[in-house]
Amino acid sequence: MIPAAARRWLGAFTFLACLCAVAPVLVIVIESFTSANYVAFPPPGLSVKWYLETIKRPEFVDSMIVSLAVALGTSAASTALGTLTAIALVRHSFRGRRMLQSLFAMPLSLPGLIFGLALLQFITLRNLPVNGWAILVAHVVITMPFAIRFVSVALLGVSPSLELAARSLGASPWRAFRLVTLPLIRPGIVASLVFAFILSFDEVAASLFVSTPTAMTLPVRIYVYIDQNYDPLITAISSVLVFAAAAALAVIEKTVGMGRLFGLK
Amino acid sequence: MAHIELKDVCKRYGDVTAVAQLSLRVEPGEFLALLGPSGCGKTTTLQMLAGFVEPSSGEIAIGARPMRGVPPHRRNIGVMFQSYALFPHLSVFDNVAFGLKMRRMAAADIAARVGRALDLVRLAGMEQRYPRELSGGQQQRVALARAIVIEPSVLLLDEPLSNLDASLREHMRFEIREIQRRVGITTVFVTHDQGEAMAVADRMAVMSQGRIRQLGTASQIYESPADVFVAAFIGQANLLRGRAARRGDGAAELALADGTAVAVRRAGPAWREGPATLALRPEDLRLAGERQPGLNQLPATVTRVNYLGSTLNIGLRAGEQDLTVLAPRDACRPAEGDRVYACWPDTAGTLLMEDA
Repeated sequence: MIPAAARRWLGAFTFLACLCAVAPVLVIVIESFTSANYVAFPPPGLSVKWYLETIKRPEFVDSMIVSLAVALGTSAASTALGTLTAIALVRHSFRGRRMLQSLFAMPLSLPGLIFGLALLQFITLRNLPVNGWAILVAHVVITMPFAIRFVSVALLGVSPSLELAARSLGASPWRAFRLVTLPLIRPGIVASLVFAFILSFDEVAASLFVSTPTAMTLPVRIYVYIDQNYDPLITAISSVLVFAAAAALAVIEKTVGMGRLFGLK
Repeated sequence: MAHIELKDVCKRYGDVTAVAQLSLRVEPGEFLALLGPSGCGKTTTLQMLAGFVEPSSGEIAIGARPMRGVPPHRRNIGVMFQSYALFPHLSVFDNVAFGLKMRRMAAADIAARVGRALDLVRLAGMEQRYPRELSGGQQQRVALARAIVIEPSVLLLDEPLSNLDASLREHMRFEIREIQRRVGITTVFVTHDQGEAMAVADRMAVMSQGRIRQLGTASQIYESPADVFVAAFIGQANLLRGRAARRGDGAAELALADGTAVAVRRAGPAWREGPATLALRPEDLRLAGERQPGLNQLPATVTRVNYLGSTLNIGLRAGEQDLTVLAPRDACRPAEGDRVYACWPDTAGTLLMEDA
């Protein structure tokens, strides 16, 4: 039991922490609805003209499409590979399993900038084309540790004897997996899909190195743009990213619940 | 009804031998218990029957059909797991129907057979419940219904009662036996609980270190254990060590370490002269205040008396030897420290050779 005074302090601290996390983003979102031609807070008037302006800028629309395509591809590829990897790491024992577990977690501790640089060198040294596929590869590497983690946690909660029971009842290995294990690890798979999507959609560091003028993700496009300009256009585009992430989180909350995802419940 | 035949079956994991040269025949409709301490190979044997584990060598046949290379889903077996392994995301109906759906049976037939199976385990009306909404005993009945509804050629039970509390366990062991008898299915039951094995099985195989030490009915094994391990594992046994020798009248005589000689008339055909152990059940021993002519006896001191309701469990110390005596409660109750004689007729006990 936490004493009442401590609880008040704890409440104030939590409020401050949330404020620091949310307030700057909220400011950007409010600014994006400005009617002025300069960035100001609070905005002198409200309009959606900067959102309409965004649609008229082909480079931003193209980047939006690249980002969406890469994020969807990353989400699917990373979750598929992550699920297969998790099954091997959780359900089978073999020599070097612990080493592989660490190896698959390594991209988590690798700075994105360094990874992007290394990937760019790898691609150019082998005369491979730098295009949207390079970004996809980069994002799959970055998001796979999360996919493996989410699916592993889900798999650990499913007793292996369930699949054996299904096998004894006449289910082939694939049907046993599809009818028993897969429905039970679905929360982990949904979490992996959504998280890989968000991470990919927001990724800057590695994407900077493998983006080209024709294949550039939206965050990189924003970064390049504010290097030269500073107007409400950028707040509108940034807000689109925020809305996309919020929508993805809403999907998780509806299907799995954020608390369960991080093992809080 | 199918019989099961295991012939020289071995299972090795690296350097560890889990099952060694196991041969066994389970008759059609028989209820056989594989009994032994953990690590004796009983679960590995069951997993080889189910097809979850492939034997390193040897042959397994179910109903005369060789099982080498046959995956679990083509064996037509019913398995009941220690943890029940019910599918948590499926209702009771769908759990029981799972095996029938795998067999692509028509929906109407499935409903009829699931209904009959749930009637059999007295769970009619529970079809739409989920496993988490059921008690342990109910979950276990669903697991049993799911295993037998597919009309398997054999039923394999892996410690199915060990997760239940004591009173329910007692009840369920007879219920399982009753259902098995009614369905008439060949059954192999793995347990470490000798009381459970004795209560339900037609025959039991006592296993240790990957081998069957003795195969027989409960009374054969209890009354004539094959070796010291079986004698000590099944029920309680007082083990008197000494040297066996032939007496003038042809009966055996065991010379104990302190020089006392005891006569053994039920020596069994395998006995010979040499180091041996006499296994005596606690209920074979009687207490007496003075020497009893015509009986084997050891002078002893009472070290403890436990009242168990229907019986008294009395601990004795005779020289270097600890003895346990199970006496009816109407027998005179000795006190701690009393000097008594532990007596038994020469027809009691089993003489076991040391190296057997």
